[in-house]
Amino acid sequence: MIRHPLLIAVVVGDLLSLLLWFGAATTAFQIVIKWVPQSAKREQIQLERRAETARLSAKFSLAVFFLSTALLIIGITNVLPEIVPGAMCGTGVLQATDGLVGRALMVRFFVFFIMTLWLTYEKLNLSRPDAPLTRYNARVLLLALPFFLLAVITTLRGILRIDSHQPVDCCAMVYDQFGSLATARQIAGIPNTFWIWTFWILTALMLSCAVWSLRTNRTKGGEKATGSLAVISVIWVPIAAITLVRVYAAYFYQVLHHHCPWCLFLPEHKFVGVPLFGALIIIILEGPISYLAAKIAANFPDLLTRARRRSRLAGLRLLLAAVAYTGMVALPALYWRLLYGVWLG
Amino acid sequence: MSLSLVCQNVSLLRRCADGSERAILRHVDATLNAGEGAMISGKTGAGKTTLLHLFAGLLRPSQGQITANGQPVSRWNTVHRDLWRRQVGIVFQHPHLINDFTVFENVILPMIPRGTSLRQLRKLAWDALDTLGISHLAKQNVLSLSGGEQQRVSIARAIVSRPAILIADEPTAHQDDEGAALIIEKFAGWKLPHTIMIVAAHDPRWSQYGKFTDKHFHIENGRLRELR
Amino acid sequence: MSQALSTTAGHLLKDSPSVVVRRVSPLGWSALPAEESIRLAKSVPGVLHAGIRIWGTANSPGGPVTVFGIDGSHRFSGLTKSVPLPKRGEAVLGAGIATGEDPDFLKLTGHNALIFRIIDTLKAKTSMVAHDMVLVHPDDARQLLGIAEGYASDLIVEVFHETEAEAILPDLSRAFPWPVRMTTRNEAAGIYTSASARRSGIVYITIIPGILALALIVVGVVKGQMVQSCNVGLFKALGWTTTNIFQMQLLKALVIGMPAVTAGMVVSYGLVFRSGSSWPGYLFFGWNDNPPPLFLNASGAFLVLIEVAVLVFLPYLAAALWPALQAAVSDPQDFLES
Repeated sequence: MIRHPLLIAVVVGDLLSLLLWFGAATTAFQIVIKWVPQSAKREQIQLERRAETARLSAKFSLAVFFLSTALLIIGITNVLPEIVPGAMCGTGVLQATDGLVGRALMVRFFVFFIMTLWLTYEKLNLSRPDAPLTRYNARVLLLALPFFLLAVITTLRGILRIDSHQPVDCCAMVYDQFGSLATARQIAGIPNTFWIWTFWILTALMLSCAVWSLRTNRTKGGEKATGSLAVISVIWVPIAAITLVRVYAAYFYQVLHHHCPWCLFLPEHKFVGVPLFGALIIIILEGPISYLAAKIAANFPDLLTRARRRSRLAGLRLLLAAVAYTGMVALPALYWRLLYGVWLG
Repeated sequence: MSLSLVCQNVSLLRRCADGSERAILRHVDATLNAGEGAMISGKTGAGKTTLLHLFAGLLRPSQGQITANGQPVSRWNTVHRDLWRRQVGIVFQHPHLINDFTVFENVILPMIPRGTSLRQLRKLAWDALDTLGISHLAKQNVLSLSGGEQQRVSIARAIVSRPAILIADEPTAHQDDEGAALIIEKFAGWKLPHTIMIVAAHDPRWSQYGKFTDKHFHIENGRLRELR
Repeated sequence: MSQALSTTAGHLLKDSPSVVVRRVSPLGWSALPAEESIRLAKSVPGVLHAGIRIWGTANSPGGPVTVFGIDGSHRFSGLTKSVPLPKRGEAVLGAGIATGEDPDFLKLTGHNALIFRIIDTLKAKTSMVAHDMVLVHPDDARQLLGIAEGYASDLIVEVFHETEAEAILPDLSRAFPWPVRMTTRNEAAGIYTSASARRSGIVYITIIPGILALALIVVGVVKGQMVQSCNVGLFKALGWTTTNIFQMQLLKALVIGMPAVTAGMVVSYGLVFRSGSSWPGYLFFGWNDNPPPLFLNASGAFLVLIEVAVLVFLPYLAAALWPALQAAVSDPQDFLES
């Protein structure tokens, strides 16, 4: 294990945020089993007060977890490659962790999704004086806890695996994924062309769904539109990520078949990975939230206006992120094509 | 919709040490509209203070509800009740001042979280202190004040925000005749077309100096009746 | 300090070769044939340029030094661009070299003994990597170190793109008929970074109990000064919400914590980048001499700020706010019935 201050900071941040979320979860559990809204009993009044402090604790936890995740990503992309022998970017660092940190990152993003959902519902809940979503949202808070624990433990295990004396072979990991140039132009046995077409068709579909959801949100058709948007966005994001790494990253690297996502986060590529993957994260968060907020609007008439507003906001954010992403991906490719008359690869 | 405060079939039960429940208030009905002042009288322990606390949103009734402008504020969750209470100025039976603060700091306490500018805050505080004739005590720590002075500070704290609903529980209990006359006169001046005032007192000087109340309620054994 | 060390190492080493190849023998390092090595290296696809270096260690009055033969063909612009190239019998010294009685001359003893006239000194900012370096003419270096004509200490290889350095290592290794040890630029910089990170990491681990102790003290103090439960109830009766009370406590904690953290950071940066004192280096790294001048850059400073925020400031805030959260649970009913 290496005792880098950054990794220690990540662990401390994770533990702190877990403790805070656990404190909030204790109250959430009480809410789930004992909540009697509008009761005059002292226990209910106390529980309502504790719900307020649990909310603050959970928000603080979310902020700290975000900070430690950002620190972890900065470490993986720009700090640890200098220490792990043979690592040139995050790919080598993740190899040094036996893939544990990669898995931890996936779980962390899932935790963020649940936390974002909780935060969205909490804002809607507080917009009404009778707080109709309190019990529902307490369950969402509890749902995050096991994944939170898993994320923290997996991150710690991954960090403990890093050995500054054990070299990794960063490039072998990337280049040994394919045995020949022909297979380099395929993903799961299917040619890149298919994936590129799929990506652009789904992009057009998703943008259309986003516009549809924004236009129809005020009517009953809103749920159908946002539901379609949620499904398409969840399918679109992994395909976008795959085509980015396998096809469009070449226009940033100006090197063919360098199928490495982490090199996009290096200073020599102007940290372009941050806005690209940031847009993907926004899309995968806001797509389902658009639908879930519309469902809230349908099931809780008191929250109709605010929930619909949130649903529209999610749709708008998704639309803007999708437009920004496709611009960032398409423009370098188009520029290359205009300059050299061919597509890369 | 103009301001109104309505008590609908309100009962409040409290658990005793032996586990049984005792009714503090039983099936109380009362309606107060904007521009009205109400006096609540009754013996000690009758439930006056509890009723005032219910009107102020500090307690939740066991049965029935209290509505303000048609909204069931007594059933709201604690956050929204805390925010609604910013429209209410409360004079407690005991002053309940913060011992570590000065008079001025105690008076501005309700205004701090409301985002008021410092200038406006100071103006409101000084107006309240001047109205009650205690400006000269502004920088003193409240522990050095007499009971009557502390009571005036708590009244200043209640009126500093110019509340729509003013609730006072025995506001002249620690005042001499001159002080009581001043306070009763001020209360008469605070009764405005857009406000509601509720005073609970068994001080006979209220009937002597204050004929401004529109409604007079009497509470006995937890039951409220309006006196005509 | 560890961040500054790795930043400075990276800055100073950015002009160093992409790959350095050394011949290995059962006795350790041995010289490699210059022409043949260059030819073999250039036969590997991806190698842009290959050259030789003449260097080794020799004894000086102040202890062992690194002797480097340098002429116009060497690309050490970062280290040497401001100093003249030494002719035969001349030397340029690193900042840490002691000359002995005569400050204008330096006697070095290796395979042979030679006396050099000192013509210049390397800049202080290079001292982290060059403090014990003596630059001489290549022929003097051969004579001093006993390296025969036509041989070299090691081979340097340049590639087009930094990332190719790792990729060509296996091919480069196969190109030579004798065993070689290769070091890339990243690896060299990483040695500095991991060593300093390891030490500073140990320091952080020992600091953590101190931070926990601080947190406990803060909890105790805050609890003692905490707005009592009945006062919290009064605040809420007057229209304060739980969030308002929490914000007040947060502000109190920040009013104390922010200046403390800022003062601590200013002192730390002063000690690392501007100090003439040796105690931080001695305490944290066991250095007996003053630390070398270090480079400060924005990204390194930003990273350190975030690390300090997470390791020190956030636990402090949590310790200050946790009792506040517990007390803020009070309801006006509590104070009315108290």
